[in-house]
Amino acid sequence: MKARLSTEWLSGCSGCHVAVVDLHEKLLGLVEDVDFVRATVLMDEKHYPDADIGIVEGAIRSEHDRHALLEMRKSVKTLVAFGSCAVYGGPSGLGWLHGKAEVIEKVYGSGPTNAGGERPDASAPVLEESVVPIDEVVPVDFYLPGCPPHPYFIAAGLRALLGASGPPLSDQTVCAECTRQMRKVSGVSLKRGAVTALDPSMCFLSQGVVCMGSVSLNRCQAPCPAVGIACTGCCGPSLSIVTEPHLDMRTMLARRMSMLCGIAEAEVREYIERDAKTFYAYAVASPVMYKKPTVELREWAGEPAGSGPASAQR
Amino acid sequence: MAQRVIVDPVTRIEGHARIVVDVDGGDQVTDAHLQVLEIRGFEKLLERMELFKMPQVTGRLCGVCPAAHHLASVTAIENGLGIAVPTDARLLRDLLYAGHMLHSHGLSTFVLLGPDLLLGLDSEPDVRNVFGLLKLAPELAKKALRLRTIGQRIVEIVGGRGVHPVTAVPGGMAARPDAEKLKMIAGWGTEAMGLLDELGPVARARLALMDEITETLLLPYHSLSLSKNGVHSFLEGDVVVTDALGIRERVFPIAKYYEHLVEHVMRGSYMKSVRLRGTPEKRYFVGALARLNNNYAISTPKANQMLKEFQAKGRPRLSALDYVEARLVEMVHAAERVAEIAGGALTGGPIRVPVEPREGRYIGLVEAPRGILVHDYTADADGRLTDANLIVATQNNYDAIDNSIGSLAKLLMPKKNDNLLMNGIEFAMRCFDPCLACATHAAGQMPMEVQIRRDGELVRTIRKGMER
Repeated sequence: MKARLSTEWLSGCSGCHVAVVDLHEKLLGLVEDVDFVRATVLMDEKHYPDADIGIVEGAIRSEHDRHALLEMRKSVKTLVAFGSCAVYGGPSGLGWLHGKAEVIEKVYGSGPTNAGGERPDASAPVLEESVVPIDEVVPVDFYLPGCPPHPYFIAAGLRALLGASGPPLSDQTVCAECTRQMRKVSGVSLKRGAVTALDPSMCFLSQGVVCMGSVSLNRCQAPCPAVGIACTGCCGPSLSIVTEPHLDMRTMLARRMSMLCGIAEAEVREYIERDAKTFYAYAVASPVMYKKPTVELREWAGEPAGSGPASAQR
Repeated sequence: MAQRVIVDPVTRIEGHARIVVDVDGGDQVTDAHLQVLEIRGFEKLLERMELFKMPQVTGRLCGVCPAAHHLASVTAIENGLGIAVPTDARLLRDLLYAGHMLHSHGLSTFVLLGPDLLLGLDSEPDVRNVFGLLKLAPELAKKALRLRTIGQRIVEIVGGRGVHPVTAVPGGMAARPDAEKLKMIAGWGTEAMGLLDELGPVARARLALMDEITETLLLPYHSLSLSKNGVHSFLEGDVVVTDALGIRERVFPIAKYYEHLVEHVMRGSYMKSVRLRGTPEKRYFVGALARLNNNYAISTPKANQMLKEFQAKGRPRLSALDYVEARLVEMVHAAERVAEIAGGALTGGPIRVPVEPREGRYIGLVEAPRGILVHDYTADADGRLTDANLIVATQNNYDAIDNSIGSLAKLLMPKKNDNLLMNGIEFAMRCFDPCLACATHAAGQMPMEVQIRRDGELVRTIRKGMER
């Protein structure tokens, strides 16, 4: 009997579904091994048929998302949080920093092309006050972060779920697959806002550019540093940060950078805190991050303390 | 007595949505309307983020057209700084974008619309998808998937990643592919042309049998697109508007987009519609069809010849179904560009100039696969966003989508076949290749529940799968 696979797409960008299609030739093999019983991007199935494996992309933004997720959980044996939005909130989760009213006001309010005074009426589905990852709503069996997860890890993950043997999924950081050399350098200044650096073979940290590779889980095969772009942490935090409450990205990065190129730890830390919305973009809505004792994401990101919806909830 | 049909969720479109059809006592369709059910609110999410990292994060608006957001974003920054990027950087972006067009148009034309074209609007929902196509016409389906694969692989090599490419940075490109990879890409360009030679005629033959639908889906609207002095362009030029008779209505530079476009909230929906300012405001459509209506030439020979043939059948072409043929022309252009750029147009010169952020307004406008895409940022002296405004392609087509859904519902309602009605309505939408993830700067999937309402009261709901 073929395994039955069902997919759902909540508050996200559909990129995780495109990544499944990016299995390319392997997709044809996958079709041999599994029956896609639901994949709304690709086929006309509006209901939630029973399935062995359910993969869910996106976070919970509206009541509609919550309902769809509950239906999905009921219909599948094994539920996979698929991609950084489902696992940590991802970019959709940046909404966690803002109340629903703020988002609505910004989108429909004073923009240069808004007609003015118009707001969505009550027949549009109700947005929830905040944004949460899916395991805040239902139990999740497996997690595959990534924005999107690289097709290599999608294939490996599905293979494991289908009971076939294969190499275990690595718990290494992005650095493990990056070919750049860490070097001790002096006289380097902090390159605020930079995404790239001059030397294509030296570690970004050695060049004063904050790269998040050393604090991010490798579910991507490190493509960005290979083409000259510093890691933005789109696969979410490394497993040590996920499992150790006292570890945090900014302090680990500041220490490492300070050792490599002599920039004061405090300067790096202050920069990352001030630009928390950029550096924590992919995991801001996850309790893994905001429950850390020294992490004050909402304050750093500029919202007045206690104003957001989640502070009322938690 | 009016009654309303609702389709929810619409599958095989990228985004969450629902369709409402109003009918009168005699079951005559009076109105139809798409409702987009999600919003993420990127205008708010981007506030206080770093300007120079916008090209990395804004791709996350949409997993189907991230390359469009990536380049709209980097273009906005460079326009605001008033800098031009080196020739090779421009060519590499063109190459990246040609790959992106093959991926996006290939997905729309063959993977999403292909089942409708090949299997028919009244075929069973069970088989009317790419998996069904793989069973019923495996060779054709594999070629279609191969075409999309080629496009996405080019994005992966030139952009660094398939979904959410990263290499375009303010000032140019962060990296260039080596000679070996370029050679491989050039070969793919030739291969893509061959695939299009096989797939194109199959699609065209199906379209030729759809006269009644072509006629039904005529749009009484303006065409709006970029144009580089009359030449088709994805990334440069001014915005040109022509009316339904083909007469130029206006031209404006991209930096003045807000003086010409205005957004309205639509009933029951988080997606805003965009219209041309004026008294009265005017409605328009965007995308491949508008681009072919507004330009008299395409820079590559085979696509240019196809443009002439396309226009010989009428200019402007105004049926939503004409989008399919227009995308075929653009895919051929993209394949030709791939072969041209990777096959030797690159000079080997620099790919980046140094730039620094500063306070100011940053406006970019490019042609996403589905039509014009605007990124408009305001940044402070520290290079952080204080404001953002986004208009994405599908918003521009909102009025045209509603018009087409209504037209097709009028045609199909009397046939009293719910399966046909549902898929017909969705098909009308799919002609525009709507991307609702983008459009709400949001989320979600295709809505697909058809609600039939009379006097605003729900009379009946049709859902996919109910017939089974």
